[in-house]
Amino acid sequence: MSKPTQSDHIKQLQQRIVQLEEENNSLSEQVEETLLFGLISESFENITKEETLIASILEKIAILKGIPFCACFELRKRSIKNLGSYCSMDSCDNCTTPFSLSRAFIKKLHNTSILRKNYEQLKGNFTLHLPCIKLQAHEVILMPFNNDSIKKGFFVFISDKQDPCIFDNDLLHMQQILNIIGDKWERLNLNNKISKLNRELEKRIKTRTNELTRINELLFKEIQLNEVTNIELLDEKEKFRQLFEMANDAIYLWELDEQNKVSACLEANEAAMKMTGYNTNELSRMSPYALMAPNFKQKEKNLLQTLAKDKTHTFEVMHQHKNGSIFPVEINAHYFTLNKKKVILSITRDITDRKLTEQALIKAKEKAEESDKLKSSFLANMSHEIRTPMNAIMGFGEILLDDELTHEDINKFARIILNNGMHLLNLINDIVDFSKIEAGHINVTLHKINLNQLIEEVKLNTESLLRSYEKLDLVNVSINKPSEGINPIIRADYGKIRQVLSNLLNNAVKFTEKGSITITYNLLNDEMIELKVSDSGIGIPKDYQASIFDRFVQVKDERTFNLPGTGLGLAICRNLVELMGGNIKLESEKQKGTTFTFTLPYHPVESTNNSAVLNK
Amino acid sequence: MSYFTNPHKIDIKNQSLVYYRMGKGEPLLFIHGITTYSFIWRQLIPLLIDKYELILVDLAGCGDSSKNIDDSLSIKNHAKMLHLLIEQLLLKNLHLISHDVGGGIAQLITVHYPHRIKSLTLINSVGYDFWPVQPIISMRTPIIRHLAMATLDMGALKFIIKRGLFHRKKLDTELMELFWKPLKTSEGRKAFLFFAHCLDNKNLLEISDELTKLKLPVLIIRGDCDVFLGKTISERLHKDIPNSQYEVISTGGHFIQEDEPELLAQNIHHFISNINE
Repeated sequence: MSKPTQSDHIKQLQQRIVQLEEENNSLSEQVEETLLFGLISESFENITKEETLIASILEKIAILKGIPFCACFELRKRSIKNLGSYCSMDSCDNCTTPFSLSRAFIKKLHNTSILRKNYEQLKGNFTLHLPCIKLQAHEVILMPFNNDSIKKGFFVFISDKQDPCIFDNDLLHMQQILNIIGDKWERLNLNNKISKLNRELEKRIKTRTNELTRINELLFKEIQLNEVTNIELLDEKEKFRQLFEMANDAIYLWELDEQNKVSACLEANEAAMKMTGYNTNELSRMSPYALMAPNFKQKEKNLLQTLAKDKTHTFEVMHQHKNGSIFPVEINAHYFTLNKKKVILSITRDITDRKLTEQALIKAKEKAEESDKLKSSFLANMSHEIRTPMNAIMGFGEILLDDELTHEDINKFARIILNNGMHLLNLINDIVDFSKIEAGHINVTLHKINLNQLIEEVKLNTESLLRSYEKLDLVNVSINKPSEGINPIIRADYGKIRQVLSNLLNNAVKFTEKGSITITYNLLNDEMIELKVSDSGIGIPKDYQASIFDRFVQVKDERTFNLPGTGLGLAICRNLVELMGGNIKLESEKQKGTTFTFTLPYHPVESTNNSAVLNK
Repeated sequence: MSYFTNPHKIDIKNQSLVYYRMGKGEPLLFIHGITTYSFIWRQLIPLLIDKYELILVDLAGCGDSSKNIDDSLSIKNHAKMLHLLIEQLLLKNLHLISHDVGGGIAQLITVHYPHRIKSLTLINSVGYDFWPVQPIISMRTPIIRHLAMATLDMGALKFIIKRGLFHRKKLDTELMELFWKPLKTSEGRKAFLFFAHCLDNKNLLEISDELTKLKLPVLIIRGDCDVFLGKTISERLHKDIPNSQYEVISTGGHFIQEDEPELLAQNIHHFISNINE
């Protein structure tokens, strides 16, 4: 053996280095495998998505084992589902279809565990479709796996022709890695299931919370709305309370019991208290009957029955105030049910004023009717009164035209015409006077007059009238003067006093067939003079005495039937006397006579002129 | 970080690169390494912004740049992309400041596209067939496995970063978050791993002869406590590159920008100032 040369030595040393490096590599590989398991285990802890897990697994295996292409698919009955792929020589991760498998190959895989073949040998069964042009597939390894969600699947590892010896002879390490991955995958699935359940639970809680929140909001809104409604209701209530309290009419709300008897007064307003004098407490214990005047209580007992039947009823009754005064009311009652209680609402109005007005109207109406009747009788009377003298005037006028009348006849007839004319004139004067009085056209004019003289004058006229009636011998006319203390000179309306006295004396003459007519005057007191005209005539029946001074009123009986008159004389007298500030009355007894007495204001004047009218 | 509020984008090949540009003066282009992006320079910015125009780039597949892995993310390709960036931005008298794998890229730029480059600074740089962890003889490089682990777990990444720091207490939540940010997405992880896969020592072995012919000033900085890259690389680079300066920072780890930003900025400024004198 030759001595080893230096180059041999170097060769040996180099071999030794390679050997040592290989040992080193082998050792470091073992360390790395251990590290790898730890790494894979740890780095999967935070992964929650299956896809992320698979992508991460494929990348880690590819990088750490230096495998250029790793993939994973689920084996189905006639197809496969790609779960992910990683190609270290390409920018594109997770191609949708990185490879395809033939039907026959898929069928075969169902019964295959680990498959390790050259890519060329799998031609037609396993075909890569990667966009990566750099990878030249060399060896293909398919390693099966299964878990909860995947019945059977395969990991695919492919080496490149440039670096063909990356796979170990035995695939124990790979198998171990896949086992770790399997555990992780299983755990992930479980975690995901729990998370899903959690999420569902959270979702349900959220939905429920939302629903509760929504309901809460609705309730809150409703409460707010109710508050508003409450305020509105209170306003409304206040409004009706005021309407109730401010009403002028008394308003009561009576409650009825089962027998339709009033059991209580539920409500009564201010006006009710004012009208009855009772306060709320007193009213609450009263019945509507207690408010009525005593004689009405029985009479209106059946009102409630009527109300129960008709539901509404309006009637008038007399009410009695707490102080005893009685006043008429009109009640408008309404029967209804309020809050399951039978009640009567009664609105009571004090109709005192209305009643008074009604009575006044009735009186006025009666008077108008009476007046109308009198006017008719007056007109009938007038036509008779006017026609009679007119007939005499016309008839005797015609006779006067006869040539064969004696002077005595003519004289006689002319006197008749004159008398009738006079009568007619008096009649017309009366009517005109009364019209003037009624129209208010008569004024009192005061003159200085001599009352004694005036009475003497009318006495003479009376005697003249008696003569014309041919009763001078039968009727005596006298004056009953006052003894002393009266000044006959006074300020008064001469014409009107004379007219009154004349009218009264004319009546006395008319109704006195025989006896006496007396004119009396006296001082009643410091202010008034009293004048009387008495006769012993037929007298005035009692029935007529009250109305004898009214216009058109005449006593009509068998005794006066033929006596003329307008029925205005006494009415004129009363009006004139009252106009002068006095009054007139009468005393009369049938068949015994009548005395008319009237008064006048006494205004004495210091003078002694004989003329009746002293100056104007 | 207020310096990173206004990103620019530029489309180069089928990638979209993000870069930040700030300050006035001769331009400095900062090239980061693997596991980092433009953020790694943030503490140097306030120290240099008054004197220079600073351009910080996110390499393709890193930071906020696009993460297309159809085309290779080899350092050769990175160098090509950065060359195009330099051309498009019309940068002249450019000082390249590079770290880690970025140092490899910077060497390639300097060798292949030297006309706009004024100086080169290599901080804890890769070189020749020396990669973050020792000689690669077997097919499977341990560094890649380490990095692969790191992409999948923040704990693993933290372990790696911590090893890369001299002042390990500096690794706070904020810094960790900055490292982790691009690895949050599958796209980011894939691009990162692809970048690692594309690392090929041939790229740098090819230019080892060219390095000896470099004429421009080169600053080689080494954190004495870098556990990922041995001092052999820096020493050999210094030995091979004729116009090179070698600085060792004893309190620096692999991520020396985090350990000693002031010392680093001071060295860079001193180096460039000397050139301009």
